[in-house]
Amino acid sequence: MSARSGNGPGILFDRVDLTLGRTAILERVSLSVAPGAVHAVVGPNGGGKSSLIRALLGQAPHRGTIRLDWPGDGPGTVAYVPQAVEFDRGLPLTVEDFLAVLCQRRPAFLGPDRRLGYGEALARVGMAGKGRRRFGALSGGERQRVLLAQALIPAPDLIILDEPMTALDEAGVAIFESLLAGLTAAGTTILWVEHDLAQVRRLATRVSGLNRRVLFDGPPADMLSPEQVLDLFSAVPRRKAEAEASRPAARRMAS
Amino acid sequence: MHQQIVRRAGAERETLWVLLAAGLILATAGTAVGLRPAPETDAPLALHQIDSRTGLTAAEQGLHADLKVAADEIAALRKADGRAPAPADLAAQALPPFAADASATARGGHAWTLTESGGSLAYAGLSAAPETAGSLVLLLDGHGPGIWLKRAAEAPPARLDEASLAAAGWKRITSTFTAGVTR
Repeated sequence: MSARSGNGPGILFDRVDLTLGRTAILERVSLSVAPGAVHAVVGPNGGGKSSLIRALLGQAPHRGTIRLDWPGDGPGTVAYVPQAVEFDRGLPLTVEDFLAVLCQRRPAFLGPDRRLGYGEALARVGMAGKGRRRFGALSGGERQRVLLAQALIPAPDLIILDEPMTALDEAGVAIFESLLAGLTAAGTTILWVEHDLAQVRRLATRVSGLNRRVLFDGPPADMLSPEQVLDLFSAVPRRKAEAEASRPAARRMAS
Repeated sequence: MHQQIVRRAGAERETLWVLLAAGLILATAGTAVGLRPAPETDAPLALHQIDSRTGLTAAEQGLHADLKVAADEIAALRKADGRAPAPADLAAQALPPFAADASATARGGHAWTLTESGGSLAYAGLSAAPETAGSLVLLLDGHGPGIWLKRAAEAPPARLDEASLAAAGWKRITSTFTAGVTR
């Protein structure tokens, strides 16, 4: 647990490289996320967005420095919302059991820990009263909301979202927006990987375009111009090709 | 302000711990072995004793082995007949080393006599070729068989007990167990 309000950390990626096998996933990625910001990372499929998150979570053999600057004396709470969860729909597991597995120290077979407030977290994502539902029987949107709920227990200082809106329905999107507003008000730093550029433009305070390298970084209103976005999603970014005409382009094409 | 560096995923740390644990185990084992060496079991032989493995010639080793077997045989015969078998009886049964056969000749051609005194028996074998195998005495008293050796064509003393034999320069053949024993 950590002290609440305004405890969101700053994140610094300093020349982060990630190579898996012989494939370069990230090349000299330097990014800085301000404390309390809603920082969106956009980019094409295979651009290294999820790998950047895995590196931040300490699950990738990256090179370079990734640093979290916590305002307090010690590290706070980091929450992570995955894109989807690998899950056997036949498992006799209720929503509360699922949250218990993820959130509490007490073994889940001893039952959910009432002190952690699973009901409240489920209410915040619009799933009030569905704690006893079988997790496998939920719809995709509902399951995504449960994944959001698990990130709220305990209250996070840094929340890492990997395309959370993919499976959300319209009601879910509204809930997600209010959730984002609540977290921002509480001073939580939000790192948000998203492909829905309209939502990013509306909700993010800063956006970075990532396609193996950082192609742009700035306020969404300035950065998400049609030209920039075309650049980002084209196979060989035009601007980069011009800037690095001296470099052999074949290397990028090959992978 | 607390700075937290995210460590790269990998097995370096685990490998280091495993190596450290292995090193610790080796060091502990090495120290334990160094501090607790096996005690020397090599008890020095008394002056009147000779080691059956290292002190005997080949012929003597054969005779020694045969006498140990014969001692059991003699004890059984004595129990069955109620009297000690004479060397001639044993030779008639072809019991080595009393049987007068080619191997007995090759091992020194011992001439066996029986001396009985009190409860103890002594079969004395006078060697005809002391350089091949010395003279032997099989002493059977209450404490089990004792086999004595003297490298001379010399009859044992009249009183056949351990003290007299030792005083006359005879040596008792003993088997010792040392680290060098492999069988």
